[in-house]
Amino acid sequence: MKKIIEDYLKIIRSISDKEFVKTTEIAKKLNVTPGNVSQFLKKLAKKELVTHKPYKGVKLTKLGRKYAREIDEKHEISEEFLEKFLKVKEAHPEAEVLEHVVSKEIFKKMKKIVSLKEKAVKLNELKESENGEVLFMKISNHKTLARINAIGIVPGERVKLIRKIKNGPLIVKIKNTKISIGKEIANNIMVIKK
Amino acid sequence: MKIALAGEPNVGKSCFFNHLTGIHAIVSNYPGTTVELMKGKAKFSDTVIEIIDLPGTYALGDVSEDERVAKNYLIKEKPDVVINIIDCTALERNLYLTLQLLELKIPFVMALNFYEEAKEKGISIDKDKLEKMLGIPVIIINALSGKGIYTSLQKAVKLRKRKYLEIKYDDDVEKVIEKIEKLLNEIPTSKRHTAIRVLENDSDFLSYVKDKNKLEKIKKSVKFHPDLAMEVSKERHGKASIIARECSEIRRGKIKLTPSEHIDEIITNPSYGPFIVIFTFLLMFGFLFYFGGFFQDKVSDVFETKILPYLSSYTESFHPILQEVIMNAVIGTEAGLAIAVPYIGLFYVFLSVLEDTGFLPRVTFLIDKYMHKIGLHGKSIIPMMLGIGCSVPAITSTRMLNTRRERLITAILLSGFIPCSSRIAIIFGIAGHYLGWWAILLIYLISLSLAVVFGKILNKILPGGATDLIMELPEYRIPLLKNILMKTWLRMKEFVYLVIPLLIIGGAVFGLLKGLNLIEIIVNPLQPIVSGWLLLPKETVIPLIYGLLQKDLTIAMLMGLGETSNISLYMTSIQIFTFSLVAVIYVPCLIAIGMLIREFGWKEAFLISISTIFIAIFLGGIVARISMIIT
Repeated sequence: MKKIIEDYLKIIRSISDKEFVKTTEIAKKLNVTPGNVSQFLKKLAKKELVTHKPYKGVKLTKLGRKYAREIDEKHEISEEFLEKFLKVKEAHPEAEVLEHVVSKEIFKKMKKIVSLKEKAVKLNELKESENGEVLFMKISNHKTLARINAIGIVPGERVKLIRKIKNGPLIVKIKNTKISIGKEIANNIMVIKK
Repeated sequence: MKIALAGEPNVGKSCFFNHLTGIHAIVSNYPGTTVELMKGKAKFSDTVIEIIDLPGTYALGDVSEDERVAKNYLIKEKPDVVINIIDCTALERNLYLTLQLLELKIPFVMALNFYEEAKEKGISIDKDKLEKMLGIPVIIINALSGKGIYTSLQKAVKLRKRKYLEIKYDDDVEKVIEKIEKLLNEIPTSKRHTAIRVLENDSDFLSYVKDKNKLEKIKKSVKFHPDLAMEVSKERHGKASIIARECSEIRRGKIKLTPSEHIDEIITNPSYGPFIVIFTFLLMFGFLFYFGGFFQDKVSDVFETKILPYLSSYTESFHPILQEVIMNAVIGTEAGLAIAVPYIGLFYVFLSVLEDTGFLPRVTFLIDKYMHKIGLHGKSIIPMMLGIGCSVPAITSTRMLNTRRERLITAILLSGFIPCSSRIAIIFGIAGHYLGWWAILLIYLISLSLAVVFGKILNKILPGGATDLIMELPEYRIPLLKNILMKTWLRMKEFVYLVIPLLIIGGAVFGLLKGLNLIEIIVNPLQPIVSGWLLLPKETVIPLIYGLLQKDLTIAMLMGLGETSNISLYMTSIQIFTFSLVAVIYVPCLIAIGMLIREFGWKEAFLISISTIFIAIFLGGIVARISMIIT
């Protein structure tokens, strides 16, 4: 039941956040008959999640909009988390399930990690003698990646920027060793300032 | 018994090796590659042990030729024991390679180098704990003084089978490892290790699987997890980190800057670092020309006043053709011993010092930004610097670069526009000697501009993009004279054995042509180019042609032509300048062409040779005409 309510809210929101939405439109998207839809919408109206007006359709109430936004956020965060941290290739269907069942606590944690990613800066953006922690790398060439890994740059590793040449390479200290890294590679190493 | 030395670069491996084997080491190329393997013999009680110094690498992957050679040697040649040399100041990072060695399941012992140095930095390492955690014998050594080296050998010889540490990966990873392991059958090394390496996308290990269906299956299971390679390496680093933390204690608090850090503060500073590099280069040239010139004079003196007059009277009774052949063969030898050997030898001494002090990696850092403008990165400066000595090993050394594109650009620039010591001899010995310092400067300026222009053009026309610098900057260390001399000799050896015979043969052939009066036949058809376009005496085509064989011959033949060492008697200043410029720019020598063929193929070698010859002739004519107008 919870899942169906949430799916309805999501669909209404996806069509319009603030305006009235036609029943037929919802029916088309859900692939059910308009009759079924209007029956269910009545239930939602009872719960004060939507306002239902004949011939005009439905509109999300303040409460309904908040609920729908929450679900959308849960979906986005779960999908991003699955994709970028668990490397799940097809994260969308998984997120479709997770958005309904993920607990508040887990959601909070995922959100924190995902937003950490937003705080990540390029290694180049550190200043001299600033510290950072490697979060991830955007390097697809396996040989370059293998070289970087072998020399000690892996996610979770702490780096200290020692020297930076403007528009040029930089020197970092990692595991007590100095390593010079060219601009291009450094641009694709993402770190969190520490 | 065979013992291999393995370790990361700059951990003191060669120092360790030299202690064990002395200077009787043999350098041989690993079959099919140009990576050098040092082999030597050490005596232990009554057995003679073969010691092999593997190239220093951070991992045993397929990223560079060095890594592959180290890896393939361990897997295919199967040394009885490996001694893994560790730099205590960077234990954690060094353990990465150690853990890969453990996965290979080869018996090995660990030698902790720079133990005292680490202590000074506030890092103390618990040897016994390390021994226990890894399950291998650990010995503290000092590669400089030789302390502990004999003990390591003793432990290595008497090594009994032990239970080594085995890294367990994440469950998901283990599952894939197991899956791949099942698909493997006849392979020359541990199945588990191979499976792990396959996960890490190491192409060499995939080649062990002969069955195509199985290969497909394996590839599929790897593809399903795109980030497994990173997972594996992360796990290994994690394990290395745990072991390092358990086994070493780092004294926190204010850590004093070591002298090495102080030096680095200055050298890597973008404001004055470049000046230090330029100053070092100037110092090197000064050193080369002062001492090189000194040796050149001494050796020439011996030839001119003792050997040649004696030989000429001794061969007087011979047939005139035979006399020409003998005399010119000896002149060829003189060119090699008096000009090539001193300059090249001294250059390599200087280069080895730059290498062993840790200065060279800083040069790559400082120059990186500029090299990107011609589609290269900082590391290309190393082959180019080698090219100041001799283009042949320099072309080979482009293998240290990442892509064929980078290697090709570097090789083209250094064969055309970075004068090697034989060409330096022309610049200084001919242009500089007869015209003055301005001629030297001008030729260098022209070469440098050509390098920049052609670098830019090549960057535009060659397909593909630039890769980037990533390089360790080791601590500054005071180089050991013994190591410097040994390195120099090893680099010189090839040159001496290859070039000197060529000079002797070249000289003899020239004598034969001269004796048979065949010179005219070669000279006349090329007269339009040489006299018509370049405005040079038509005979100078002979030294120019000889330059294709070996540039050192150019000087010898030029002197042979006029039958005097004073070139200014039969060439004008403009002609001397044009001649020098042309001789400097066109393709270095036959051996370099051979090396280009080996490294890049016939087509590329041919194109490089033809185009540099064309550029040299074209530019020579222009310069001759401009100077005519000016003067």
